[in-house]
Order: sequence, then C-alpha cells, then structure tokens
Amino acid sequence: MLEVVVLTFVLSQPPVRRSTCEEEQPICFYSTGSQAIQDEQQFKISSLVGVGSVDIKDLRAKVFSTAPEISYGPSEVADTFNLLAKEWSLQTGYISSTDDITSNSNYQQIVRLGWGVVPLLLKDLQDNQRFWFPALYAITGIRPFDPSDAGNSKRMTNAWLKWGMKKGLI
Amino acid sequence: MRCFDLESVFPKLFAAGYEKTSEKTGHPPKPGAYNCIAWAANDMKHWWWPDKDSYWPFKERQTTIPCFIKAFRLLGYRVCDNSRSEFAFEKVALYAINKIPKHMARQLKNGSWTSKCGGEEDITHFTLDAVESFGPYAYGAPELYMRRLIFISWIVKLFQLLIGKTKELFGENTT
Repeated sequence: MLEVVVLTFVLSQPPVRRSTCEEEQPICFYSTGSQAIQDEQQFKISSLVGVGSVDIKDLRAKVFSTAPEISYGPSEVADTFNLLAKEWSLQTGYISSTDDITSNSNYQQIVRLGWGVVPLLLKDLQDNQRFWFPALYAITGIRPFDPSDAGNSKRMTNAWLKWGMKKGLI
Repeated sequence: MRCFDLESVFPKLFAAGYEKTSEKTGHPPKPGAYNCIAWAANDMKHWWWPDKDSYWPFKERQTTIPCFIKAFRLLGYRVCDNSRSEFAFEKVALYAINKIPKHMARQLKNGSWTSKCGGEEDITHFTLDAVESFGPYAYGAPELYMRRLIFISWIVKLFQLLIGKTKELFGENTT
C-alpha cells in the first residue's frame, strides 16, 4: 500500500527538466563589472541579437522574425513612437556603438511599428537629427543616400527627407 | 558643471574627476552628427562606426579591434603599450567589452582625456577609468592605446580640413 502511495506521489510530480543546452543558460556577455545584466527584457533582446555583433543589415530580419509587425492606428503609432523614442534616447544617448544603439529594445519596438512609423522617423530626423538611419533601412529596405555619404548625417538626412517628400510621406 | 546623467551611467566619473567641455570646445551636443570615434579622430562631420549607415575610412567594416586599429593607422597612429603622456605624442585609447570596441578617448596635451559621449556632451576626464562602465550599454575598459607624433597630427589635420572643405564644395554642387 505504501509503495502505491509513494509511486502515485512520484508520478504526480512535474518532470524536472535538466538544463543541457545553451538556450536555457543565458550567455553572459559581460563577464566583469557589478552592473551586469540588470534589465531582463533587455538581456533577452541582447541574447537574441548578440550584443556587439548586431549586423544592421540583418536588423529587419531579426526584429521581424521574432515578432510580427505591430499594427496600430495613426495616433497610437505616434504616441507609442514618442514614448519609445524618449526611452531609447535616455538609455543610449551617450553611446557611440551603432550595434548597441540598434539592439536597444525600444529601438527594435520602433522598427516593429513598421511603415506607419516612417513619417514620424523622417519628421524626427528633420527636427532632432536622431540616429534613425538603421531603423529606416530596416523598415524600408533601402538607403537613398550615396554610400560615400554614409556617416554624414546632414547629407543622409537630406537624402531621406527628399525620398520622403517624393513618396508623399512628409 | 556636473552632468548627473553621465554620472549615473559612469559610476567612477565623479570620483575620477571630469569637466563638461562642450561649450569650451565649441561643439555642443548634436545627436547623430558625430560620435566618440569621430571625436578621437578629430572629425566633427561624420558619425564613425564600421557599418553601412556610418562613416568608415575603408571598405572592410567589422566591429573588431583590428578594424579600429587599421582605421586609426590611416590617421598616423600606431599601437603603443601604455596611456602615459609622452612628449611630442598624441594618444588615443580604445575601450572594449569582450574585445568588442565600444568607445574611444583622445589624450590632451596636459595628459587628461577628452571623450564625446555618443552624440551628447564632450567631457574632459582626468583618468581613463572615469568612463569605465559595464552592463548592457556601457563602454567597458581601455583595451588598447595608440599614439602618433604631434607633427604627424598637424599634417593629418591639415589633410582632413582640406578634404572636408573640398567635399563641402562638391557636395553643395552635386546635391
């Protein structure tokens, strides 16, 4: 009788899953320092895209392969964009690495807003000159500026704005 | 003037000592215009990073230390083994995390260092560890030092100025 009770108890327990693969054991990208990995959501994004090795040309593929494009109404897009852009600026304003800038979860959520956010990105590019070039490329798949102008924000901005005007986006 | 935003990001900044110099250098924050790598390279017209949306002096674009060494070799810098201030030399320091470049600082004549924090303020910090930081969005620690003769820096700066002016003229006509 006792054996039956013990057996029933053992079988009723959920199976213990041993961690055997790397997926379950997050890779620690920051082996030193006291502030390593504070933000769990950010860490998940970092693990996903690989901090320091984000290839901007793959940004679109990486963002859209993990979650579909988010569909919002125009006012919702604007509100969401403003919120995310503010957070993104606060978190990455002092950063130079475009890999880190684009791997930020807020930036990736902005990209996920899709075509609806393009006019807002162009407007913000015009007004605040923030670094939206990778996001614009990730959404549209094009770079309207001459490759020799890469890094020259004035010319890149002009090229994007000119393109936006031709497309009737601004 | 204290920058509490930066102090919250770089825990050693206040203790190490720093000064906000954006006003003095005449380069107020311009998000997206140029970054710390451009600042170290003395180029305030481009955002330097080895990707297709940024300026990089040659075609090979990889976020690796050798790629950064190659870029700064073009500016006359050579790898050296320390950050000490040396007579007739100008130095830069490359910060990295797990061998992935994150930030660069340039040494000033008095031995202090100047850093442009992303597209934000430029600061003078008295020690290199002032902007050491670790975490999801951090600079890491100095991994590599490069130096060039002041004399070479004058020639390079002159070239940069001429190239910039030429591009400006051509750019105005072509765009």
